[in-house]
Amino acid sequence: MSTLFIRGPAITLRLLLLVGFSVAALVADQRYRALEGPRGLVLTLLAPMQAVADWPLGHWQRIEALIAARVTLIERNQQLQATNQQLAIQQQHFDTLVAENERLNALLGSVAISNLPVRYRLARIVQVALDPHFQQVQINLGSSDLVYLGQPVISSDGVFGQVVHLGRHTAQVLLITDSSHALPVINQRSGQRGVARGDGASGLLRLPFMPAHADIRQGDLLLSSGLGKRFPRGYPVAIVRSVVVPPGEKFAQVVAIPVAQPNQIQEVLLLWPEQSETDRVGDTNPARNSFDNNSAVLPRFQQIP
Amino acid sequence: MNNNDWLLIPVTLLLAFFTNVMALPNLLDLLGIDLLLLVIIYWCIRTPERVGVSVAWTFGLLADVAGGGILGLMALVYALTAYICLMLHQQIRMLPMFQQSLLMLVLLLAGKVVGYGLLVLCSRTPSPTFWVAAVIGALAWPLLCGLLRRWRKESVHLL
Repeated sequence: MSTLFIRGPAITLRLLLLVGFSVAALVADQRYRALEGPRGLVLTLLAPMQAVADWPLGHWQRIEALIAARVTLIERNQQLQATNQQLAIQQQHFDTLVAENERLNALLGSVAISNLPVRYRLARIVQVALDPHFQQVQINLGSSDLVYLGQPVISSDGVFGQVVHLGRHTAQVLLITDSSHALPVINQRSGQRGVARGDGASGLLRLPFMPAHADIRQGDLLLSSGLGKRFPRGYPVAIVRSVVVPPGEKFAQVVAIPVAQPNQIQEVLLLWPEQSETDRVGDTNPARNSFDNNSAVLPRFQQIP
Repeated sequence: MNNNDWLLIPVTLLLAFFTNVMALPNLLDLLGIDLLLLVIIYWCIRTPERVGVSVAWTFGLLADVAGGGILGLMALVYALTAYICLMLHQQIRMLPMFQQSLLMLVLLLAGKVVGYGLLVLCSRTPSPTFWVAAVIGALAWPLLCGLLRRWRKESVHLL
């Protein structure tokens, strides 16, 4: 029987080789993020299978809508119309403010930094099983939809996360609550700056190195400050839950609750932020310089450092 | 030796991989059973000349990418587990089902220890159900064996 001959040095050798490959992959991926290309390729190949796996849970809403009673639908429709009208009115106000802001900036002679993204696109969160040790979701858009690595993702509530792995038709988004994620924030009330680090499974954010005398209180809204140049500035990130200053410590322990709660979200917005004026000055890349509001083709990797 | 294992092996492996990819409702997700690893172990014991460390490693790597986790972690754990199974496949076949199940517990826990070490190295906190999955996997082993054995016999009749 052939099974008698399978043991021996050949298999041990192969195992050692594969262990070596695994460790090399682990280091290259975790330490240097050098394997995003191969990762994306495999993710592309896996996309059809994931799409099938996503179907029952991912389309549950649509099925539910099919069987939902007429009365509920009419009710929801009315609610949505009311919200839409409110938003339309706010939008008018907003347009005026933007115009005014630009004029004031021009008067000051300062460089106008618009934080309005050029383009949004709605992406659906795909229901597939992901590694439970990471705070992440998968979305149904990929590099063929001009999604790029490091792209900011927001929800209707606030900042959600950023794209970390990119396939052709799918992408994996790391949430801001992941323990490896940090983003610069600014306190809306006091202007105090800080860095919001993810706290992992607890779904909270922590602000390390916040001085004990810093002007930050419970209930303060934290906005993205745009200093990291990855997230556009001015989007809500989190609300401060508690500020504790242990006696004798130099730093306060600040915990904040992110405004975007991933469990309740089914759809997210991908942003293609506009290059600010300061970025464009001295930028020798012609693809970047030709980038404007009306161009249909977006530079794909403009935000990658 | 079965004649149509060449069909059954890829089909069961892909099916198991599919269950790993599929998002399950919360309760089932908590069980965290790694069906793919169990199926790989089964084929390593039954047909060691066809399924070995390379197949295990490849599927581990696919699982790593699909889950968006640490690249190489599952691949390493799967390859090591498959290696032990290959080395002991004749002894394991002789064992009664209860002892096999016990052995699976030890084997899965050993894999979890390796996984734990790598997770901590990458400064990740293992999930609360991390260790429970090994126990549930060991409990599921007799069921899986029974199911696969039946499929193998039935597929012989089909041809």
